[in-house]
Amino acid sequence: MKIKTFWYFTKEASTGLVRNGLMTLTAVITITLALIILGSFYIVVTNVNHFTEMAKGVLEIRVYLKEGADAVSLQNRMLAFDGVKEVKFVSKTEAANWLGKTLGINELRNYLATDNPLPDMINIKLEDNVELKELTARLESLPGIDEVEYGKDFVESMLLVIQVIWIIGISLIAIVGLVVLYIIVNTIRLTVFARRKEIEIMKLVGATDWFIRWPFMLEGIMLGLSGAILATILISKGYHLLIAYVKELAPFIPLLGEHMINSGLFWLVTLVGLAFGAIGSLMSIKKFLKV
Amino acid sequence: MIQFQGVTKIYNNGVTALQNINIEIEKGEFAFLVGPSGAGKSTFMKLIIRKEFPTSGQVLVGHKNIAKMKAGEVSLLRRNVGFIFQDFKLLPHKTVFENVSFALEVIEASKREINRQVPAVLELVGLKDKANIFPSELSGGEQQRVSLARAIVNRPHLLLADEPTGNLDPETSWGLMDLLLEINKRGTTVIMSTHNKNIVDKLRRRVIALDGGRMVRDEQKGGYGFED
Repeated sequence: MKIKTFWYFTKEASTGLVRNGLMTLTAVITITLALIILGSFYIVVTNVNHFTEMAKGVLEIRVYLKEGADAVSLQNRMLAFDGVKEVKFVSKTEAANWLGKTLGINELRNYLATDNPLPDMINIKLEDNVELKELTARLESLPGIDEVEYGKDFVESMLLVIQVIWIIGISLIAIVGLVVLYIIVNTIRLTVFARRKEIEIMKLVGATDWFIRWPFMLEGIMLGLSGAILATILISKGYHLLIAYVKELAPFIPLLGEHMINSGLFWLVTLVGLAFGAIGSLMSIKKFLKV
Repeated sequence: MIQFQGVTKIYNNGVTALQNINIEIEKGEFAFLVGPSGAGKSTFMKLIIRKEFPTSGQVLVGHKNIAKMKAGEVSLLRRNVGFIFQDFKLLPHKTVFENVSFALEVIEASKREINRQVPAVLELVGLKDKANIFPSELSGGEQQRVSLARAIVNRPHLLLADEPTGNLDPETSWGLMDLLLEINKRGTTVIMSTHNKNIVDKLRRRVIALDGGRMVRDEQKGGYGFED
């Protein structure tokens, strides 16, 4: 593309935006709002993921052994599994001592010392990125294992929460996407309509379709980009305030730092803004190119 | 240069615009396309620049089948065909100069070419002095000459004129005809559709007559032949 042509495109696109002043403003505001919804969703997902990962790190799996199982070789095999960080053998005597001490009942202590019904146990500390279900299944398939226990309820409810968030998020994005597309298509259509005679003549004298499309594409891209920049600024300001607020009121909630969010947020919002800007303008001009 | 081979055009709404048209127009010819309104004259022209596709049969322009052209080839085709209309189709917020240079700008011609070609073609149509005024300040005949300047500014091989004198008084019409004949003399093929009996009868050029979508006559040095 010649530089002169590029300037021509930019000039045409800006003219279109200025001429539709109020509509342009409305479009930018709507797109900004829509992208803020998208960006906030991104922050929620990132934080929930982060929280789940963290929770997994604190989690332990307890593996109860059958009577007479070979604890040493089992420990070695477990260490080789993906996601296993540390293993610790807890003998049934240790378990009984701990239990007796914790409960503080002497009769129980004596009883456990003579006739111990507790099993031997291996405690497993997990890596952060562990696949719990898979690991549990592998552990259960080892010989001499009686039962594998982990914070199942907690993990499963977390997984459910994540699933629900995703479903809400995807529907949200779909709705937001349609709204943004609708706004952009209609804004650009105003320009296209104002220029339909020019477009007709351009087609007749042999301008290529892309030459005709570019100014409108740029116009859509400028709309999307303005919305994206505004949305990014507003969300990161908002998140900044939220972090400060949470630190004050509920310091135990582990929110991700801004620096962990900002670049992902920026790219997501910008790319979505750009993509919808471009697609929207292509859609509005399509009909007018069939000449 | 242009060949219609068994061309039929039926629009989506069921209207048959052209039926089994066979014709050949040679390079450098000047041909009138005559017939009542709705005879298929406009469709005939639209097929040549591939604004429409034939329903059956083939339209060849410069030995190329227009139905098989890619988007890029259609653009190239149209750069070689100038078009003028009854309603001029000028852009009201552009000056005479800009209206003509627009046709070169959108095919990415260089500034040098624009500055050379536009004044030359404005001189040819006799509007050199009015380059910087807007179409609304011009008479109908002048506007049509601007539109003609725009059509020929990138030196097309073919000029299509769709009832170019339809909105002009007889005297102005003859002024335009002189220009079209001049352009034809310089080697451009001209096809002009018209209801102007007077012009067709006086000039005695090739006449292709359409009626109800059928070709009813094709004579060299013909007359208008329809009752007005």
